[in-house]
Amino acid sequence: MHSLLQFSLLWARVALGFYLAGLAAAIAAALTRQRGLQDAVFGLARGAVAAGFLFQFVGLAETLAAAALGPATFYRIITGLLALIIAAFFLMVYRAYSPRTLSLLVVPLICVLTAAATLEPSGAHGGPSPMAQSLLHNGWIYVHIALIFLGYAGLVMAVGSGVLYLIAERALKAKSHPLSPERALPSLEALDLIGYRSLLVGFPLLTAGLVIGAYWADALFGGIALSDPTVLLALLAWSVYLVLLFARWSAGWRGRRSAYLSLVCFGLALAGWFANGLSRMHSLFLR
Amino acid sequence: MSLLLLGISHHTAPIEERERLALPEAALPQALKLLAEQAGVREGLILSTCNRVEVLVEGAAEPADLLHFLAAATGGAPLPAPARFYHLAGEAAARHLFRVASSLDSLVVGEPQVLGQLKQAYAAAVAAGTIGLELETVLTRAFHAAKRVRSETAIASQPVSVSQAAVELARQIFGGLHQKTVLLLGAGAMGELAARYLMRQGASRLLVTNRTLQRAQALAQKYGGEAFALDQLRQHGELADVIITCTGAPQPLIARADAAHFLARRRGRPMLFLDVAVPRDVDPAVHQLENAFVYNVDDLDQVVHSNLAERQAEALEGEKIIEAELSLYLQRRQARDVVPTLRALQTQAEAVRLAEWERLRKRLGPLSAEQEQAIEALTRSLMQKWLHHPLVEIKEASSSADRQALVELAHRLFGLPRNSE
Repeated sequence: MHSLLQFSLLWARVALGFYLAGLAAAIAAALTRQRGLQDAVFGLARGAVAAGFLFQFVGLAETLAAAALGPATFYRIITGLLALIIAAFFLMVYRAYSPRTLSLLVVPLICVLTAAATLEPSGAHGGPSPMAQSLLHNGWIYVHIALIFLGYAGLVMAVGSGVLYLIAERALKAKSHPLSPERALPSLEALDLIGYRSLLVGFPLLTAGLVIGAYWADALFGGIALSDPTVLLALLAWSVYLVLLFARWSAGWRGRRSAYLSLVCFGLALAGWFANGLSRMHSLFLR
Repeated sequence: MSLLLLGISHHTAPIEERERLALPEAALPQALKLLAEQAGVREGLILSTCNRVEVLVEGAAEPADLLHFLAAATGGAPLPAPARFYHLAGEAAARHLFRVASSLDSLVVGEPQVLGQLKQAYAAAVAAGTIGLELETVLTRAFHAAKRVRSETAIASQPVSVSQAAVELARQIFGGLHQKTVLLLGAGAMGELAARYLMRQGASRLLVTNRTLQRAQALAQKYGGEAFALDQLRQHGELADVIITCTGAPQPLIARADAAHFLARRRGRPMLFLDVAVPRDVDPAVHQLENAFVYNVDDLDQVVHSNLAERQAEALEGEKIIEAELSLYLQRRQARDVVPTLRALQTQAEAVRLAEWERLRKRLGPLSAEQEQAIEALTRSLMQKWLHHPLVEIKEASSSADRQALVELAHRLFGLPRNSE
């Protein structure tokens, strides 16, 4: 079983290598002015990310198959999972719209998460409580995490395209020079649509993840503690997420406003992620 | 040569100043009449486009006279600072005219519209009776030069203009024109061109509106669009993703409140306003609205950049053609200049010969036919031989200054009458 775990780590590192290669290719392509060459290099970048995705998937599957769900591997699994999900989202969006510059924002994030997931388990963690131990062997916790991560991945894509939207819109408003790099960004409408569809996919998944979490919290702790920072921030992020979608449907908020709101939402989600250590319920697994 | 040209263009003044001077087509006859009444103006032409307002006259007018005329023709509004205007005389004026006609002086070098606009200005001046021999000559030559530049260089092979800028901007905002609606506001030539181009590039629907509904309907029919009356703009404006405006209206037709109304009804979907009218049809404040993008003619060169270097190389070729055409024009023009002098010289010589011959005949009494013939031949040949060298010198003087000097000298030495022209 131990060797399987070793392998999974190796696959994760191979995946990281591919992601980094993809990032390098994306940067190189963005710096290339020649159209044909740029197409080819961006193709390489996309291929590298796809390869990284496959290796990471294999690595994660092996970790789970090894049932090595000890506390030491847990953190690795969930960061890897988050990277994997964002990569999947990115590849799907890329397939539909090929927003090249978006890769410059999203691929670095995938790289960082994957790198975090390939760190050797330090063993310094004390190990979770018996209750957490039993939870780790229950599949629902992974469903909870995976769903929330999917929601976050949608948010990441929305924020990425939102930032690009703000840059592109600014360039158009300023009537900047046509050779300036901002003018090579995807069209405003495409960026807006990517953001919107990412949110649309992410929202129900996040909602489901939160509901499952709430259900488990109720069973384990006898209710949801709103004073718990992770819970509070997650609920806040979810509400902004909801407002974001609702404002678009009802008031036609899109483009700039939508981009700003998704940034707020992303900030809350990020804060929630870092607040895990402060959360009574969520720090169970991290001790 | 007494050509004088006074103008203001995108090179010297921003659109805010140019639009104050713009003379719409309908106002041209009146303005030309006024121009012809100016002291010292024998012939005149007014060219008023999005990018320039120029007055070309033949006569003894001074630049200051033309400035006064412009002030009067545009309703006495305060003129831009005098430094915004350029004035050129003689050969420089002709060269400038040639360059304008060939689109070498245009904001977007190589754009085809300016030649048509110059031809319209010429037609208006012909109709107003302000074109005489001088302007006729220089304009005909300018049209010829423009034709050569267009056909002999690749300057026009990249028809870069409003149309292309529109397509490029639509790509940056909408990702393309597929499923997009274009609204053409006004029936100006530039707008029509742009609308036709956008339809060819895949826009799915064309709406047309104009002050006169019939004109809008005619345009709509021509390009498979739908027409509506101008007063329904507020109801229908929201349908348009791209609005091209090119009316001759003196005031903006789309105010900030109108655009805000459209955007609210569109639930924030972006709108592109291409304002190719001077004076502007879209209030510049519209650009400050979220999801509204207003580009006027001055912003065009910012948008279109493709093949700038190539076009500049072609423009250089164009300049060579202009110089060749210009020297041809000047030669003919100057050859025509000396004709009165040559003729006066010959007439005078002939008069002297005849007078002297008459006097001699009286003194000598009756002569035989043979004698008469001999004397006639002698005097004639004397005069011709005597005049031959001066005439050739004047006719073939190498430079215009030389020629002028010789003409002047001839007048002084032979006491030729002054108003020989």
